[in-house]
Amino acid sequence: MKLFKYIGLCVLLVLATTSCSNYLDINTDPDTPSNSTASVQTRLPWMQHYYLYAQGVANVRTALITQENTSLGTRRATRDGYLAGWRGDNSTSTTVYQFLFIGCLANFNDMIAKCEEVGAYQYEGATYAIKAMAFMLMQELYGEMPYTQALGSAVTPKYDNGKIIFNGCISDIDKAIELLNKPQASTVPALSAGDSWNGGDVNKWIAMCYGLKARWLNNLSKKTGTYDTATILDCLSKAPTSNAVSTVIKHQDLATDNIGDILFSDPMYANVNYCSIGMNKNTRPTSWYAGMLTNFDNKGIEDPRADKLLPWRQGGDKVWRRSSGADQQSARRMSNYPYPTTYNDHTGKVVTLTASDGTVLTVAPGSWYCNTTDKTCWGDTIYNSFYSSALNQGDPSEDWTSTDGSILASGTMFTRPTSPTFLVTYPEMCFIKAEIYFNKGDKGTAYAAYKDGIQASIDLMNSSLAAYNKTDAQNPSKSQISSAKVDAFMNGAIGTQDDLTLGKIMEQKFIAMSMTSQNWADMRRYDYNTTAYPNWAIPYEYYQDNLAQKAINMGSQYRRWSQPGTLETSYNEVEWKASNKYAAADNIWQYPCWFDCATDAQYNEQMNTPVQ
Amino acid sequence: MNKKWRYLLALIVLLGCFVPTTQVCAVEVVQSAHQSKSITGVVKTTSGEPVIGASILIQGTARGTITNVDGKFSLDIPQGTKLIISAVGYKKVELTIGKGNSYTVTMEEDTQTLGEVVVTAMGIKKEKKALGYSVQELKSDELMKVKTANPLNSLAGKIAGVTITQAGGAAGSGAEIILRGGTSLERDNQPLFVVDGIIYDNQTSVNGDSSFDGMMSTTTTNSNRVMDINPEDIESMSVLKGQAAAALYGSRASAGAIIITTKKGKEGSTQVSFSSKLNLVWANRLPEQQKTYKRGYYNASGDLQDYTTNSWGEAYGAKDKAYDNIGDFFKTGSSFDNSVSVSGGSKNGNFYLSASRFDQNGIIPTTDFDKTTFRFNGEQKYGKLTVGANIAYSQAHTTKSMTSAGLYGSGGNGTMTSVYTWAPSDDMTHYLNTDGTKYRMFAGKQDLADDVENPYWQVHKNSLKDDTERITGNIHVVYDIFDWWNISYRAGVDSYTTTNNTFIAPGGAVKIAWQNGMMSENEERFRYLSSNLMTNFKYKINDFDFNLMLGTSTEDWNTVINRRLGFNFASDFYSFANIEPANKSFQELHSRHRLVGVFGEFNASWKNMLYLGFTGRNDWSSTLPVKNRSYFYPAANVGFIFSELLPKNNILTYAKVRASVAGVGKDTNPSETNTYLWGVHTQLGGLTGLGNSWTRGNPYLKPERTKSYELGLETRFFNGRLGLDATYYSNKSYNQIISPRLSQTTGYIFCSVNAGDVRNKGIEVSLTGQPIKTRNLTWETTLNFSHNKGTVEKLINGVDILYVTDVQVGNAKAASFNNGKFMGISGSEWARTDKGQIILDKYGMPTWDGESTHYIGNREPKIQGGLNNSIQYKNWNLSFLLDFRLGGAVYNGTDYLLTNYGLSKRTLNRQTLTIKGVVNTGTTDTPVYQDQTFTFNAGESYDMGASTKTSGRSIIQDYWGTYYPRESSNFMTQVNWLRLRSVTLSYSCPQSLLTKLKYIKGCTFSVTGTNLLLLTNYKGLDPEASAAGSGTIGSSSVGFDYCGVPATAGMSFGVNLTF
Repeated sequence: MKLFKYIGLCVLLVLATTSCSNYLDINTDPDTPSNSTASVQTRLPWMQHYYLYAQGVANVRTALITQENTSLGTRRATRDGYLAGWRGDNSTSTTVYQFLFIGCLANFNDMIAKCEEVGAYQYEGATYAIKAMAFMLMQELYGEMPYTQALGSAVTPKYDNGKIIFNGCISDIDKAIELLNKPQASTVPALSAGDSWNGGDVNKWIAMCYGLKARWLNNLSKKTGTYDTATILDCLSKAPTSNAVSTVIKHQDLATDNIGDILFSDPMYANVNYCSIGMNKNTRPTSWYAGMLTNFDNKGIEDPRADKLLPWRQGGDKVWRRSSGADQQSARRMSNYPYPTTYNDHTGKVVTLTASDGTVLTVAPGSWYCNTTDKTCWGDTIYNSFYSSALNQGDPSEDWTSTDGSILASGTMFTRPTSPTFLVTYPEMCFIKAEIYFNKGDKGTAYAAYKDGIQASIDLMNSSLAAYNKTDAQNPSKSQISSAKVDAFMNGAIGTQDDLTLGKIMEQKFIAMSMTSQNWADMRRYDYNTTAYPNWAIPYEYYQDNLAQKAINMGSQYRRWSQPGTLETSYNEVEWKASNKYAAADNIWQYPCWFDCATDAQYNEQMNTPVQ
Repeated sequence: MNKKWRYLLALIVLLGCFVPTTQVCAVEVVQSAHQSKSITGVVKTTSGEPVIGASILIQGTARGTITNVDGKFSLDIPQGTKLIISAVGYKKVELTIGKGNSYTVTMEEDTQTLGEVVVTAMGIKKEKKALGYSVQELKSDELMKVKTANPLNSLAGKIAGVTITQAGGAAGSGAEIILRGGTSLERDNQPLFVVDGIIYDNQTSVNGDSSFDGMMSTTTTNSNRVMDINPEDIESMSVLKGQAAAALYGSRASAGAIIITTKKGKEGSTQVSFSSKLNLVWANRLPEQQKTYKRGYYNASGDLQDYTTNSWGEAYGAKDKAYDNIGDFFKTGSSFDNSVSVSGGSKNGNFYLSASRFDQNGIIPTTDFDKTTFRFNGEQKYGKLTVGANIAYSQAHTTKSMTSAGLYGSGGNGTMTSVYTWAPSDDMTHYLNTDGTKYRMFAGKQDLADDVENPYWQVHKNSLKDDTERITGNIHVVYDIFDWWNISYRAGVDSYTTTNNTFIAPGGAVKIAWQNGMMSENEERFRYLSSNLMTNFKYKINDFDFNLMLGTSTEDWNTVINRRLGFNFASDFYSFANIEPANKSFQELHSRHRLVGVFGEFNASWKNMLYLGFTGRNDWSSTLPVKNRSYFYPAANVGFIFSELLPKNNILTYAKVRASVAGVGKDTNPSETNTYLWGVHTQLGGLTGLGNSWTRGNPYLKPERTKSYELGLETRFFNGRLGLDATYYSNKSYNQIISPRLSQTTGYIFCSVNAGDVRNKGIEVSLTGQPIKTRNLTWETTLNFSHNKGTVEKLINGVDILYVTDVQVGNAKAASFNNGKFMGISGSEWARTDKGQIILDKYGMPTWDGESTHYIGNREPKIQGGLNNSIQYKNWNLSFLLDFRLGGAVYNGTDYLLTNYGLSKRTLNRQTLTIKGVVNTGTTDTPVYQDQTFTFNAGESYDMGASTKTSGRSIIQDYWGTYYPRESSNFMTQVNWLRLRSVTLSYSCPQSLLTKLKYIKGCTFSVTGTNLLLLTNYKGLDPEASAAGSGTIGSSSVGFDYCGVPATAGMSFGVNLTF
């Protein structure tokens, strides 16, 4: 009996030490909040910021490829110089993917779990929309990307083909629409508590999702059979039907906005295009883009938006001068064209430059000059950068102001810290409609939509400029557009139903969609042809650059970005190489993404595993 | 060495002080002796030789006698008394006094020491012959031969397969121990330490953080915490090298284990022991500087400039003095080491009480280390119940200097870097002006933050200190229910607080914010609790013996780190109270870890010939995800004494083969399964934003696993005069927990993942012999050597190199290579043709690819080992330990730095430089290589591609400073060494003298020399080096010699007294 007592005692002791299963549940850091603690209304603005930042970087970089902008000639051998010169270089590829994955999408799974836990369906819908936007952007830029295995337990996620990503994004945007329509539990904070885009307006969100779906489905225009104009038109009926229901994000320039984001320490409130293009003085508009604005359809009537989209500056004479467009076809592109400009604001000091042939340039105080002895560059002062000052950079205002009071850089519609982000807007919807009907041969409907689109674009810009009215009335870049100028343009430049061309529709869409990556998607859909984009041409230096022709072979076109160097190509090397037959090839840049292929068979030529 | 004699004198005086007090302590246990009678006896060997000095002890008392030179003894004792007769090398004999008055005792030789009992995992004592794996134990007398403050150092060279790396010669600096190579790529590879059944923390904390107060592992030296033990308290250290031996420790066994047992009082009279030691140390080797050229440099036009700390200047003139800045900086260090213990016991109880004090002055001015310890061990029996407690308390203080790196991001420099690169043409002791203000060599020419801080300023004005207070202890209960079944329980605690203080005095060459002073304090509170229940069953039937043990343990670690920092003192008073609130910051970090284990062991033996053992352990760790936190480790071993089957012979006395297989592992660090958030960022519209940080928690993490196999052979020849013990082992550690950069499509940049295998294969051989054994002279010798090969494979794609330390010297870095060496060195290389010719640019300079990720060498030695000798002549003992190493790369980062500064002797030829190689005369795509030799003369100028010609002096200088280090292996040596690690001569007072001195039972004097001889092909400081100190994870920084505090050599004088 004694023996049993002892055995019983042992069993008890063993039980005593193992029965407390929660004894081991101490693995949460008591000092740092973990991912399960973040509420839906704190995560949504975080995800919105990082999505927008990535989109801003894509906007600015693709605007160099589309020849909307160009880089300084002195910066030909930098990332922006390569982009502008059509030389595929993988320095292009990292930032967008990094901000989307590390900043934005890392939060997706936790956000969805939290939304479902608390019944925050509108937040969940918004989250699905952002995920769809993020992957759609990557599909358009990189072609393939880990999608089904991304953001999960795999440390070397497999890549998915563009078709799977595209269809996944469409189904996610449908899911977003469904969720946004679902009422939230009463205990859940209103969408407005965490929405920095639409101020919690669910109707705008739903319209935005339909607008995105229309945009994306329209990007399949090459695919006969798959291209479904009926569905697109149906989406357009639910997408923004006026500027008022468009998703236009308002940004702020605050002196206190200097803590910075976690990746680049850039400001959190400012327009993201500003962070990528407005913080430096290296970018200029091209003559092709400026030409569309100043001489649309060779009518010689200036677009009322030209003043707002091209940068301005003053010299000591206080005269406002608008930038000309730099010629991307000029042979001078090989010799530092366009050359950087310098403002001589040293009161009383004259700068003298002597060219090799003895020509002397005397630069009076209060004037601009190109600080080089190469006299062919001296005229490049007519080109201005998109630079904008900012309070959060320690400057007194957004306007870059010299000590003599001159405004040395005005910023533009889309590049100031306070510039709005036109995320999904009514004008774009109009142009999608115009394009569809034009291609169907219904010029009447197409023209009406085309005209609505132009008017809406002008109105939308004008309403955004309203914020500047009081203080900046003198700044031609910020002042209200005069109705006289609008009327002249609408009546004289845009033409009639009869002379409507695809080129006019696409160029007007390009202007309305300035500094957005959608323009690059559109150009690729039309293979950069001059029917859709009259006067457009591949930049001059491409033809002079062996390495550019190695990345994009002569006769091919710029169609995608390579996968991010080092980060993907070495840390996910095996899957990266399996993603596309040419993934590691020098000329990966010329291979069309799935949306840009007329058929799956065309896309399959690149794929190791054929797309079904 | 005048100073040393002064110390010796002081020691004698000190001894004098102790004598009267210790006399009081000595207590004789007096036994009543009824009806005593005189008996005589003689003790002989089986061959009839007398046994001299055999101890005759009356059982249950401390009374007795010893045999004389004829083996005879006499005693007055009553009839029926039991005598215990013992002598070294013989089996114990018991003798009961009957009616007779004269006795002859025959003692059997115990040459094989087969009955040797060793401590194995969980503190279980087993006969060594029953083990199927390798265990080596060092007893206190061996450990005390060359006593050091750090018990780890006593193991160096004595056990095959044990690598000890002392991290330099700074007072209080730690050592690293690795058994059979590291098994983890990014985790601690040092073995588990267990003291009296309780896990004993041995981390080397770098308290502070580079991002908080600039503290890094390369900033200064730190102790490893096993140093808190008083070495005198150690009865034995049992080294469980293999995973099979340590398997019962489960999650903590993959790096092996070291089981320390502290002393117990012995039955008999109370004994007082006292030992005192004076130790003098000096820098073993110092870096050599050229003293031909002074400070200065030549610019491209060949003009001499003096605004530099480099020594590329002109030659010393007749009147110029070259200072021995390095030699003058280091001084002779000294330490006093005193310890006293009182122990005793009766049949039912015993106790051991000790105190010690260690006081050391370092070889760097102002540095010191002191340590005070107390211990009480006691045990009492009540029938079948035994209860006991072991308690130790210690305090340790260190005053340190900076080493190589200085404080991260603070400007200034490490002390050692500055000492080694201070131009000999300048007097380094000139750090103050005559008015007491700071002397600045380049005052007015550069900002204070850009100065190189004078080492004397650093050690005299600034301070780096640490302070540790520790309590460890356990209580234990053993209940012998039946003679075949017992239960034991042990609860223990290991608790310490270690505080680091950094003080940067106003006026320092540091970043502007700290120029008016900075102080930081880092306090780490560590607490470990454990509870361990075991029950043991024994069963014997016919020729079979069975043993079953079952147990469970619960362990709980809790660490809290508090950091405080402040800068800009309001006045010349240095405290946090004298700093504005805006300039103060704090941090608090918690870390918690719990482990529950259930384990068991089953042993079976047959005829003392065949032994089988099985162990199993299941652990539940709090650090792993719930679904992976339970895991099982099995192990099995077999030992077969096949000599039992052989006929008795005089050649092969004993032979055993053993084999084992084991699976063990490691859990991970706390809080790695969760993903955490970035700090709060306000977003557009003033919304509060929170998002996941770029380090992903891994909710799928599994424990690291190690599978190991071990085969061994143990033989004794010629009745034990010669022994051979050989082991082959192979282990594979898989599911390595590493945190590499990842594909960002995971959503994260970093994540702990299970990936990669580390393989270790090796052999260990130990030869023991007694070449001489006569009545008066015995020579015992042990030669051991080992070889280990550590390799890495199956890392995730994209991760080809893992770096685990912030030690980067030039382009060289400690690195583990995928499909390559675990202990590799990565670095840069000159470009070479397929034929190995160096490709030069058109001006004659070697070209390179700009990468520093090339594999350039392996830090693991080919063979290392030791030869340990003990020669006993009458009362004299001479012991010496030689250790050796063959192969294994050491990167001489110190010489790299000296080369850069123009101070290395290799830069002495500055008149001409000849570079041979090939130049590509073709295109990049289709190269055509042509042999070419370029010669540059100091006095001429050459076209180097600049608009004007470049002076030869400047070219030669640039070659050494820029081009030469791009071939990282130029500073790497495959090191061989033979080192006289220690030599000790000791004299024990003869028994005849002691019997005259009433109270003194033992008295030994010793003189020890350490590191007196080092023969090596390595040209730098001591090649036993580890630039990031002792606590570095993964492949560590062993093999990187970079501006450390030089290793020391020393002499010590000691006395041990027993009362």
